[in-house]
Amino acid sequence: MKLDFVLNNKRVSINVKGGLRLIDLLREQLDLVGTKEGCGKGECGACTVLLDGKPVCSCLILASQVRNREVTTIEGLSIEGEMHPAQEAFTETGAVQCGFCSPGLLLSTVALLNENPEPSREQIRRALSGNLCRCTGYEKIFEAVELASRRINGLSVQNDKV
Amino acid sequence: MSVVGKRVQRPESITRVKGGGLFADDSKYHGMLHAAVIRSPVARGIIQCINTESIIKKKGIEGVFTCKDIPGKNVIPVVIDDQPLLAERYVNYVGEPIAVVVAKDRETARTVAKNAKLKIKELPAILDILEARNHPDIHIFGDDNIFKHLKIRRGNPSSAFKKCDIILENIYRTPYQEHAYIEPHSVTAIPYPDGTIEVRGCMQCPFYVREAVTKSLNLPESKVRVIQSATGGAFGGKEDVPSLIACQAALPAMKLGKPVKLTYDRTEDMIAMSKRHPSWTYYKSGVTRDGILRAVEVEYIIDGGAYSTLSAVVLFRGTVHAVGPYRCPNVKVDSYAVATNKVPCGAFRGFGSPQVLFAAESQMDELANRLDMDPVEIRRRNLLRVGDETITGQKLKNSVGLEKSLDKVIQVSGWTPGGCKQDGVGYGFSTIFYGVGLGAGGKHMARTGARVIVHADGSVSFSVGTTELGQGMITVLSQIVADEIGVPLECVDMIPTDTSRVPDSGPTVASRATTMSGNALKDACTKIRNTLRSEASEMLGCSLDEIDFDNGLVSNKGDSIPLIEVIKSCSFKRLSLSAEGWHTSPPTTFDDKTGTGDVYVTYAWATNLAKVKVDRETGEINILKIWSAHDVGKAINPTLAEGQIEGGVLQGLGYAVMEDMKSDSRGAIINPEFSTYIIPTAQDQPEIVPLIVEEPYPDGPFGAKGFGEQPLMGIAPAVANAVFDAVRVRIRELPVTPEKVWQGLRNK
Amino acid sequence: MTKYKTINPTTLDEALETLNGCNVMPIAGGTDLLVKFYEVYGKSLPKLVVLDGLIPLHEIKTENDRISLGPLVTFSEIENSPELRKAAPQLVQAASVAGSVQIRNRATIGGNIANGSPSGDLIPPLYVLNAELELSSVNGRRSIPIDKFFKGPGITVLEKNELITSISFDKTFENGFFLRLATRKALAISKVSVAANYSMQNGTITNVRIALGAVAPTVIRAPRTEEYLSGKELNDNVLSTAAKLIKEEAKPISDIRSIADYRREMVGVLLKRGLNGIPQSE
Repeated sequence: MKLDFVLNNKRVSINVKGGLRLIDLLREQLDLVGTKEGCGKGECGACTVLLDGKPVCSCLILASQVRNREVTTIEGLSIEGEMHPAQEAFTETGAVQCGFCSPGLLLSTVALLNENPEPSREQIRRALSGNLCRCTGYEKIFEAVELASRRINGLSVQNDKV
Repeated sequence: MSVVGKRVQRPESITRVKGGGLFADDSKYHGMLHAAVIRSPVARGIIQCINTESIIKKKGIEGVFTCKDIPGKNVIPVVIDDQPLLAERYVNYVGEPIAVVVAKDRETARTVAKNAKLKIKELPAILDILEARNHPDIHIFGDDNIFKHLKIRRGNPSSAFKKCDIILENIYRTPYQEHAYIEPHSVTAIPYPDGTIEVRGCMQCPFYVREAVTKSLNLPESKVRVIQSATGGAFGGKEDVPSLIACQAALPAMKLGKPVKLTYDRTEDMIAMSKRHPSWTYYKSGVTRDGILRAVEVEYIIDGGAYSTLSAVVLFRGTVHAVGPYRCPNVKVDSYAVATNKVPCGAFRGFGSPQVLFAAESQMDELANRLDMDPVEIRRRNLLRVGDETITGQKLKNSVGLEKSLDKVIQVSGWTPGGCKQDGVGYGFSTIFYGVGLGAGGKHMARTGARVIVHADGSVSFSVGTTELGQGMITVLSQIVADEIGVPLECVDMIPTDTSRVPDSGPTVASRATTMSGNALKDACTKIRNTLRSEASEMLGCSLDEIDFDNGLVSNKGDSIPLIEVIKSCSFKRLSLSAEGWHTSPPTTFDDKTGTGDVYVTYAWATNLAKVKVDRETGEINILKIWSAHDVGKAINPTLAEGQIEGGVLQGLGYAVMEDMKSDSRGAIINPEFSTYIIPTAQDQPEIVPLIVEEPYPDGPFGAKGFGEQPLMGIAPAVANAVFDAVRVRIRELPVTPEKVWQGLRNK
Repeated sequence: MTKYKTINPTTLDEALETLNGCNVMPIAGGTDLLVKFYEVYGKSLPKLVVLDGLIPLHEIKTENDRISLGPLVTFSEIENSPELRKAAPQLVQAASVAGSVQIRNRATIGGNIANGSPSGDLIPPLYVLNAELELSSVNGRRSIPIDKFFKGPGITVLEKNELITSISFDKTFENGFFLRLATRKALAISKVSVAANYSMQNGTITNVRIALGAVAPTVIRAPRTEEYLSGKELNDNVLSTAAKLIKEEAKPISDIRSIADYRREMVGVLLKRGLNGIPQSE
């Protein structure tokens, strides 16, 4: 079947088997391998993408379910090579260890900051609780979200640890 | 300007946040096929028939391979060669690989593998370690089902116990722990026309993989090239098992002459891959009235599963760490790794020590309680200091920051003995240690190689045999190289770890990458720097010892020239600015009969303090805060060191309060998925305060010593001790769940 | 690459027509279905009837004191509905603790009901709201109270060709709560949950409805406890007696998540906490 949707701000019209999972469409057919498969059951969040701006697990969505909707993957976060403030913050605070969960965490972060530019620590925890990370203990991820939030809101940023 | 000790950013994190880090499953190769594994559905049985002919006829199937197709030895070499690549006559655990199916697409391979019909005659299995040890009829390994028995004999415990004022005897139990790296296992094997097999995948130990592939395919080491892909977490779970997976892909790749990819799905990964050994520990310890530990007797048994894999060395570390970081003149330890009809257990951060430290540190707390002494005071009276001997009789010469770590935790947390507190709130300590590197248990592998090349444009690339797993090795080693050559960090790049670049450098385990590869790189850099120094002395017209390298400049007292000019000059004169480095560990020893020896080259040290609030009605444990101080010798990069502490603490917390993998009465794991095997989410994370203590280790690069495993190791006892402090309920079986605490409260 | 066969209807009639065929199955958010699809159906995968395109089934409608939810309303939409926050606080509380953000953005109320799990978090609130389900098929429509819908774990009265097309209930009495215990603070399935709906008049409790999740083969009401509480002043004695009574109404089992004794006891603890106005611990 023919599938029309918006992928990373570009219109896409593509022939797919409608029952393909969104993650397979992205990784296998469109070669967007930044979206990772950690469990295939919606339990780890590594495959998180944004559907109309909201985080969802791309392993639990069928390609036909994104018809005429907007999908954002990690590849769509940088605009003309310029990283999103959340991406910059993740690299600066040490929020990336192995990096396998990072794309999913970043998309959850961006969705949170779009909705709530100044989230509290509790709101951050809640917003990221669907993304398992086994390396970092989450601490530096929370710091990254807070740093990105301050940057987005134009607040002065002190990184006293440098 | 030196970058060692600075919080520099990870170079590879930039590609990772853009989704560009190429993990094993992210690459495709021309003509690539997909493999899937047919596994045993029973815990013990005799294979009567595998109907390969009916499988091969199925649509999309390119081949099916059994043990009969293996050209070399049907063995996965680890310590003892008892584990086959593919089962021959017997199967010994649920999930044991029997055959490999290859198809054009992954789904077909997986579906056919899952539905393959096997004829297996089921035999009675043994699943319990206490039953398995010396079982009269069922023999999984040898004639007693014991993979390894180790012992330590020090002083005279039986007479020492008679002089103790308080003696405590208890049994402790711990369950499996699953690594739960977020990236499931994946590997691709690519055959070349000249007969070379290239293996790319997530792994900790490329040289283990090379050995396994060469042995099973009967190839020389020169024909097998192993390259590590970006690896999405490992924690020990990608130490020995990638050898098995690589062979499962390499065998069909060689036979079919096409690249073969094998990626496990999460459930398969959880059923069939290694885990932390479940354990049973009998612990008896005795103190005099003044709180001095006089005698300890331990019987420590770990569940190795069906094949020995790393159990013997896991047991070794557990045995040496059995008493914790304390002086004790009278010790008897007997430890056993036992075979059962379950999935083989292997390496996991801490490597046999978290289980026994849970017992040792719970026990220490109970002794303090019985003495009416605070938990810090009893530790202070017994902890190891420079000049003391460990239980193996190793005299500690330097770099013992244990008491400093204790002081640091007390200072930062503001903890006071018997300080006022709310109802249901409790504090729990643990003080622990970690023998750095492979130690006497793996000393034949205690060497590493490195190669450094300074290019004519001033950029520097280096290769090592150890691997980046998320811990930050690339960054730390790049910092070392930058300082040693005297170039800015941005000029330094690490080439992905590849067995064709450096000699066998052993595994990336035992918190050894920073010290071992760091030292090998220093060795290589010194050679290059000597060339640069002599060239610079000519250019500056001064003697060799007047030359100083700093921040891209080479100077003598008055003059300076850019380092790049010196490099260019060397290049012009055709001088080599490439060198190989090599490092071997200082000697370690262990006497099997007495359990004595200088077991590890040095030790890392740590103190943990957990603050918890227990809900008296529901038994729920709310972890409020964890302070965790570690003596790391020297933090080459404090941000990364903190990252190791924070991550290890949370993984330890999962082990302490929620992670619990169970198998049913037929030996099948009942919760092989993330909805039932529960690990901490962002909402379960308490505030973690990472604290770094630096007591330099003179033989480490810049004084550094490995410690990446240590942050996990002491969290479970700290939490159990805090729960006891909060509500006077002592849990001796992990995890400390609300159900157990509630039962404890009810039974009081 | 996982491939399913799908049909994508755009009207309800078309969907019901398709569902009347052989070996087909409706899919809403997919957060339960796709997880176990392979394990349950193996080689003979049914065709999936994708409901996303049925726009009217996504709506939350209010008429006077009656609210009706389309089956495709997501947990997130429930969580963020100001209307429901007033009209069905227990439903909102349940929707906000289930799963994760990603799951709540996709999981639907209809799917949670049709999946038939005794630990489905939206179900106890719907019991205490006396929700009515509208089931539709090519043969017509029927209405069924929610407590007549479930037969056992994963077993419901929904026919193969039927679809839940509406979930409706009256706005709540003034008070309601949903409390649960789970194995961790997020991304967790409930070990035990309690929902209630009640009024307070002159210091006494009336119109009490209580439902329990994950402590019996289906979600259950606690009629004896409801009867005991009715007309009582809420003091410590009354609460303790109610907690004792409700423990006897629970029929829990031991499984991977918890043990029977604990679940039974916690039903009482959660009831007391809920009636005392203690919020969900996070």
